[in-house]
Amino acid sequence: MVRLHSSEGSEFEVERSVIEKSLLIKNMLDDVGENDAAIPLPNVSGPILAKVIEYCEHHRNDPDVDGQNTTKPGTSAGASSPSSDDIDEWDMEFCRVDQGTLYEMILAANYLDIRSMLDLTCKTVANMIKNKSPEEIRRTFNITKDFTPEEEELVRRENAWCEDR
Amino acid sequence: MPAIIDSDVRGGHVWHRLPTEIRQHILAQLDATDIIHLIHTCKQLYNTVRLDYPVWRGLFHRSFPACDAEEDWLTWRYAHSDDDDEKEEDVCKYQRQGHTWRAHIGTRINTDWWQLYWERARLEHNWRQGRFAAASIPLAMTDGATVASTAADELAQLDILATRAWGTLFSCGMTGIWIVVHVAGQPLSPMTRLDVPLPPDEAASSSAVKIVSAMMTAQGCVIIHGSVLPANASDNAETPTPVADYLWQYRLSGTSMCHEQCVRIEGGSELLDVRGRWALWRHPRQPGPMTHCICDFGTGTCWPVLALAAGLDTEHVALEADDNGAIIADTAHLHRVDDRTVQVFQCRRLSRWFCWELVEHTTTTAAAAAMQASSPCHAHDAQRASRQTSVVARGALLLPGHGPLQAACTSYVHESMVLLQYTAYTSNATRATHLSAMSMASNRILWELSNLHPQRIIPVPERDFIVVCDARKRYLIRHLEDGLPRYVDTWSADARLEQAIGSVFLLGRHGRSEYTLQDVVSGNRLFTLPIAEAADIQQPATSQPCSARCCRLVASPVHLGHIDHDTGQFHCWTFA
Repeated sequence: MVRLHSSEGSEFEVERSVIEKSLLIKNMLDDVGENDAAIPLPNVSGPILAKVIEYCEHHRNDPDVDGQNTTKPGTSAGASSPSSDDIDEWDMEFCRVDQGTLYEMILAANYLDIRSMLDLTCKTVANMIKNKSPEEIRRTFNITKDFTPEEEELVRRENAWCEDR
Repeated sequence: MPAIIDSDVRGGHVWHRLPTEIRQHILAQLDATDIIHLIHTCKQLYNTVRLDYPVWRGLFHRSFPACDAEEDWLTWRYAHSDDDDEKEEDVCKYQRQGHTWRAHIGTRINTDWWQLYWERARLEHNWRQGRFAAASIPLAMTDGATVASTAADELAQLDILATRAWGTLFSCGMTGIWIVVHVAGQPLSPMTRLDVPLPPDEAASSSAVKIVSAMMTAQGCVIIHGSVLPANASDNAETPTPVADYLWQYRLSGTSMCHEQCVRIEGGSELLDVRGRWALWRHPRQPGPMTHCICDFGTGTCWPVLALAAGLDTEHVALEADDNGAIIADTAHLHRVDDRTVQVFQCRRLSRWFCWELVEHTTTTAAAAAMQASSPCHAHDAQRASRQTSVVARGALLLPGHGPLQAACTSYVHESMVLLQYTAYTSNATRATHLSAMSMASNRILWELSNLHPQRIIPVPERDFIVVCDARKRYLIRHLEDGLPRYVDTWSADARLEQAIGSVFLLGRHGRSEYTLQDVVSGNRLFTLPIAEAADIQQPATSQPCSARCCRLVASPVHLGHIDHDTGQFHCWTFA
């Protein structure tokens, strides 16, 4: 078992094979060897660390596909964007959290170097943008429009090409 | 030109706090429309994402994958660029080494990818909206310094041989070749004659050069194929036997063309294709099959492609002996080219077997230069030693039909797919023509169409479709891996199709003054061109050697060109 300390000091115990999904922790354990000392994670809060462990537990038996499904260069269907609607039900439910939590989860996945969790959370954000108008995106992310009407018209005209296809 | 809008940073939503690499990771999942919608939400996102070049670089490569038309556009885009700190000698160096523009801009750190993406997207938008700038120049020709007084009947023969985004080639019944370079939407007057000098080696024994064909490359080169005629050829002889054939290479330099070199090839050869620094030509060897040869303009050397029989495995050779089939002809095409290597697809039909191989030729010029320096008397050997040949893939397929196969040819679709056209006898001794898509990765026919006689095939693999023009019908084949053909009855039999950019095609009706731009995939009619003259669209000669055939209305990814003999003008409509 590996002991982890979250930013506010709460302690989590997790199987080494589970938490090794995090390359940061895996490398750390490989370097120092297994001992009783807890690993401090000052960048990850308790609730987020719980989510990370939940993710690693669920995906403990997944094969390592590092970076395999992020981009597929050289495919013939070049014009289409990479697919991001292949998220399974558990993952979808896992990411059904408020935006603040999702943001913390992205940062944690990035910091702990868990490639598949970073892909999943980024895909979730991307899906919140897809096929939406600027106004719908503003509402989704609570963005305040600060363009003047003239600027907005300028920006709209300059990018009229994107409505072609 | 896109502008950066003043903004004051205000916090609040998640996007403001995302680290750059994570924002890039999210944006890499989106297409252009989604990203544009996102940056339309507020000033800060607009300014941050607009300057996030990795995002636009990724989008550029994803949306506009490398192909001949894209390279053509890039050559046009950068040939006269003054907004970048491009030094002309750098440009020339890159071109001379055979680098593609895409490779070049990929290594530069100061490429404004947003600007590049925006210009390329707007180009296609302009085609779709029918938005162009018209410019005309008079049909006046010059031999360098002086404007030649061209006879009226000679002018009447003037026709467009080939066109690219960066220029248009003209000829008067192949007696001379003239070029007009396109600069920022304006063709540069007057037409400049491309001087075809007698090669120094032949100057003593020859009298003239007879031009056979000419081609333009997407990278800004013109290749003229000509025969050197003997000095003692009597004037009344119809066709004097050529002393030798040569390929003359010219390179776009600023706004003019400079003669680079001429390379000797076998007399009576046919130039098939030119891409990057490589040319493919064939020589009919009597007796025996065609011999295909590669010319490398980077080193000025030529060599025959590897004889295929040497690579055949014994099983297929045995089968050939059993069937007692004769080897009828060979065919080859340039498959994939880049800065240092060229892949040649070549095949041989052995009765019903179709044996193919993909051979990669690599030239290492640095090694050649080093060896030449150390032993000047063995320069020829040095050049040979710097070349490496390796078989990338090979296979054999059993084709349907009986008896000997005839008239096969192949063409490039994408990295692992070729189109194969062949004629075979069916059981009742009638001939049937087949068009097959072959996957090199799995050595099998993916799909096949029978009983059509393709006159023209326009593969657009980056958009996953092929247009096939038969003598009577036109087909659109989508989903290249499955090959779902669709007979398109809205393109009448006499309609001529020419690709402009992506899925935007120029459609002309023979004998009628009606020209439209269409999206061939969606079938949408985009725009009707306001052309008064009943001009005749012919296929562009960019990928095919020119002949006596004329082209009246031609298209490149950037423009439409058209000679108006009534007013003696060349019209150029630029969509960029």
